[in-house]
Amino acid sequence: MIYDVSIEVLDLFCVFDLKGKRSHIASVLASIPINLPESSNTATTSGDMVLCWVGPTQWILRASQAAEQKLMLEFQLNCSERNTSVVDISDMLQFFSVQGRDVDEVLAICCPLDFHLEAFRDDTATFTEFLGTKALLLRVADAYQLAVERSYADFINDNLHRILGTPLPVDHAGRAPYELGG
Amino acid sequence: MRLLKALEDQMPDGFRRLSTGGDIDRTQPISFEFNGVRYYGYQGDTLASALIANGEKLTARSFKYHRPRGIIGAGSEEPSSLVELLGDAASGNQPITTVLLREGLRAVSVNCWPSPKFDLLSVNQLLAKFIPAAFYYKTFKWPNWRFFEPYIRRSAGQANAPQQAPASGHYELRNWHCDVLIVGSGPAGLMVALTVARSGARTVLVDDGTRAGGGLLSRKDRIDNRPAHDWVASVTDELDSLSNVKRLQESVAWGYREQNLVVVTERQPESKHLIQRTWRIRARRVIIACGAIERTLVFPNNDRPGVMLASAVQTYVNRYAVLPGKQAVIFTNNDSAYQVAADIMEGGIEIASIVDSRDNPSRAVRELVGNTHIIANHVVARAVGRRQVQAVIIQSRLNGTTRSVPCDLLCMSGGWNPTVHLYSQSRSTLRYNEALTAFVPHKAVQACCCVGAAAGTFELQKILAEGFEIGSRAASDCGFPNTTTSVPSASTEPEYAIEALWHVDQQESSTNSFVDIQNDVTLNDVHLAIREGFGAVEHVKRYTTAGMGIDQGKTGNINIVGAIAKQTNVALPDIGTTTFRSPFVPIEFGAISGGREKSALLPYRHTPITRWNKDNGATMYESGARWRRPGYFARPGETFQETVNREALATRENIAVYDGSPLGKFDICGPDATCFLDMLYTNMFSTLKVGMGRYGVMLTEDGLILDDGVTFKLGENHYLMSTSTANAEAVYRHMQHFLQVQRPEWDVWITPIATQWSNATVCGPKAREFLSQIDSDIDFTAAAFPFMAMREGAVEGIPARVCRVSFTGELSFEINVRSRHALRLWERLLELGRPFELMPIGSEANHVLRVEKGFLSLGHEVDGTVDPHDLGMSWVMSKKKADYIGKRSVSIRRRGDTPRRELVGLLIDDPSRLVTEGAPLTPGGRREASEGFVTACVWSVAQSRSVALALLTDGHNRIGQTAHIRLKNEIVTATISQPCFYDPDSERMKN
Repeated sequence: MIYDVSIEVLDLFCVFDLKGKRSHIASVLASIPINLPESSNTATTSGDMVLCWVGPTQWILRASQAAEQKLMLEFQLNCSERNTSVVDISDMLQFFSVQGRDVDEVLAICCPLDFHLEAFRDDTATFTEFLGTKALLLRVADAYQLAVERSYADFINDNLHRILGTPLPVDHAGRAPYELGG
Repeated sequence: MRLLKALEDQMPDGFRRLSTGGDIDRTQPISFEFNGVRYYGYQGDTLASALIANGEKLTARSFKYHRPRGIIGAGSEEPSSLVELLGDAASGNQPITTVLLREGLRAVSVNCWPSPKFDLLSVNQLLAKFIPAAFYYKTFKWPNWRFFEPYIRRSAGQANAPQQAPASGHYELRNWHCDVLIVGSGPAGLMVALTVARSGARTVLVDDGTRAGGGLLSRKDRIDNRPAHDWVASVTDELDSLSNVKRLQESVAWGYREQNLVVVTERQPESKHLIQRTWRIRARRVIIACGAIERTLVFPNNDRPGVMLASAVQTYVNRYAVLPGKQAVIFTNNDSAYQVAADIMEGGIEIASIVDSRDNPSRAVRELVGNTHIIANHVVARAVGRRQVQAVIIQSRLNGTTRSVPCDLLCMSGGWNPTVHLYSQSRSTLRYNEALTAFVPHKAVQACCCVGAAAGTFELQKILAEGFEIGSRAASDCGFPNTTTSVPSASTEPEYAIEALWHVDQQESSTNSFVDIQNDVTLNDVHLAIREGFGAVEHVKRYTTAGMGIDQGKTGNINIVGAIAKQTNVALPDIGTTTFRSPFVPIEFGAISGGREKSALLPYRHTPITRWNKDNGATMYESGARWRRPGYFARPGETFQETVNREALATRENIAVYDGSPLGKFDICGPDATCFLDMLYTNMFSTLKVGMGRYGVMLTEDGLILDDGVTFKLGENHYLMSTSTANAEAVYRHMQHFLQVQRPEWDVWITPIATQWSNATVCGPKAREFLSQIDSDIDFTAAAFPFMAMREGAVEGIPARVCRVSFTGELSFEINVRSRHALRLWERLLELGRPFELMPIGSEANHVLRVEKGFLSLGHEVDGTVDPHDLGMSWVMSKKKADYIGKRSVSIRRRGDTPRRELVGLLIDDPSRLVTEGAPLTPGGRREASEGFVTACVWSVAQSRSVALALLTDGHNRIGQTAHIRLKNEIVTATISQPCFYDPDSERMKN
């Protein structure tokens, strides 16, 4: 292994994409116990929920899959006026956890962000270009978590293993992800 | 010691290695091969220094004339000798001076055969008068350029490209950020780095040498009363101890991009897994301390082996402890050559004369060389010798008298050019400095500046002071005021003085005064270009190829500018320089791409069904937007056409299923969502009812088709839009651009949900019958589920949205489920569909089916040049809406009477014949401008013959006529028909 980093493909989360003016989003989230982030490209947490402010009028709410039904009901109750957008994107995003001593160096290979502590703080959450795709990147405890559109998950996994110099994951037929396409 | 003695005994005559001194390790001898001959050098040598130590003078042949050449420089500025490396480290066109010696190195000279000492193509020298610059613009015309082209291509280039990839390792590309990036670790760069680093700012210091020190490594300066080398070591030790400093050695900064992005390639990264690592460094401040490059002097035979840059000779003596000659003449127009003379005399080279073009060199420089014979007001009129300089003819500038001075080494110094390449790449401007006779930095456009010799400061004490000042300012600008550094003292030296000497005046025309040694460009060539009207410096460059070699004319470009100025009587500042372009030195392609190779070259996308497709024999390939989709599912013994026919027939006559997941999908909502869709599409969407969908066409602002798709209404001001797979990103940008630029006051929210929902599309005449038998709470009957309707419910226990749309022209149901359930649904459908012989189909069969129906496809009929009228879709252009994107442009375009290409069908006269997509249609099949082209051609299972679609000028008015398809070797005729070959009233689809 070239770098001391481990990659973990995470299970499905419950994820919602929220769009609208801040005051409207606050109303939508009124009954959900999490605060809106105060600074752009940051996240707040509450239990296993994470709320990321990723655009002037865009937030991403992530929770455990078990909370999906409850949250959908809450949103249906709170979104009566249609001046906000609440879209379930749980199946859109594949999350990975990346951690280890050399994690900053590996991420510097994957994306152009500055990972110095002064630039990428503990509560930073942002979309970025990542190995030619678009990814959501945030810090969770001592690891980074990144989320890419699910269709790119095999490609990202392939690339990360190449960077680390570890064997590519193979499926039941012994095929690496890139071998499925040709 | 006995080993060394034995090695020395094996070395050829002319051994010129000093027994002490130099930055080499004599305890580590290294053997290497050059042109098939084995030599020995030491750890720390370059290939150049080792060959000089072995007495090798003739190391190359020139590009065009195949003149004998030797080594001229000591670094990346080397214009003369290029080598090709063989074996594991195979690489072409490396300057001989930048190749580090290692055990087992094998190198060969380029551009000569069989060797530089005996080169068959040296006959070109006899033809020199007939092949000046740009001769190829005037020749190779008769009978036809194509006759000569293969031979010229074969003879082009120098070294061979490696035939195999490196046996192990890979390239890496890494992004980095810092407060201050310093390029160059000579005295200026080290001073800046120390000042910035001590302030606490994030500091990156890069240098292309094997060791820090820059020019200090080649000279005998003193700093703070100790050898400068000791000062360098103490600075680098301190920098390496600081956590806010990253120091990269053997790393060349070769490109300066926008917003202070500098690209650096590290040639020897610490990891054994890596071949090279490229850094893309974004800095708040960039300090360029790249030093200066000495320039050549222009006189006849200034390219002979044994003619070298003075500073290079100094480097070989001081740094590598080798003597490039025994008896030297120094030819100069500036003061720096005198220190060189002093150093090489101390090393053991006898100085026959110092030939100074100026009339009165200063006393200070004279004192440096003691009693050495100085001949002022003279120039070298010619170097004598062919394979080796043997003498120089010097000439008085006062009365023209000449005499010969024997020598085996001519050290030339034409002055110093600040290395402004990176600075200029940043788009900062230069100005001409009369005192230095060089272009120096002027106005910075980005947050960068030059320091030291790169800024035109050549005295060491001044360099150190400047480094401190600029370092302090840079640190302060980044919020790190520094108070802990002071400027060390340096040994005194004469102030640099120079008088311009762009070339030695020639009594008669000479083809041997080279202004660009690498590309064999002479002073005569420059004059020729000017005579022929190419007098601007950029034209001279291109007409003569001066400055276009691998060395980019580092040692000679200013001489060209000076020659143009002299010839045209225009001042140098008004001539200017050519554009400095990256890379500063040749960079391997692998280093530029980083790890993007093989399967990681471009992103690829999979659906939840991809693995199943592969397991079940699908032939997969990319079909738009990086999606890998099944083309077809071949069975044993089937040809491609048989497979496609089987799948298409199954759809037409029975039932089939395909994975439609990659379709672009967007959730659109907001108070202004409905009027947004009315603006986006050409037809009306505000009349759409909840639970229903409508096919729509989108135009660009210039009225041409951008995309098409079906949008469903989910609720009040809430829609689900689908787009073509390949164009989803473009449509998203189009929508966002409109909302952000033209209607920022509208409240419309767009969320891409392409992979939130996956779909299995069941299609065919038995689709309804099949779905009615599966477990679902959805009523699939025709009355309950009309065409273009959407129903939500459960299918086999999975929550689903089912849409009645059709791309195949058959009864069709898109079953959309969340992607987590997609594979389960797919497998369940196939299991339940066995009694129906439900067949999975791929994109090839889909293509056949849509061509039969005349349905448009992006990239085929929709190629960015057509509007809906061209495709016979005037019905989709609303006459009621006041405005929509593209409406006005279509109207303006339609006011003219220029015939347009229109969608038609083609029935080829030979019904079994297929033609390739893109085949041109020409009037009568004649070799004229085409009047259209074939957009698709397939074997129709419905018609049992070939059918094609085409865009043909005035096609709608030519139905029934004959069209001519002009192929490479034949003309194929076809009857023009309506562009629909199956179920023209779409009864089967709407069922």
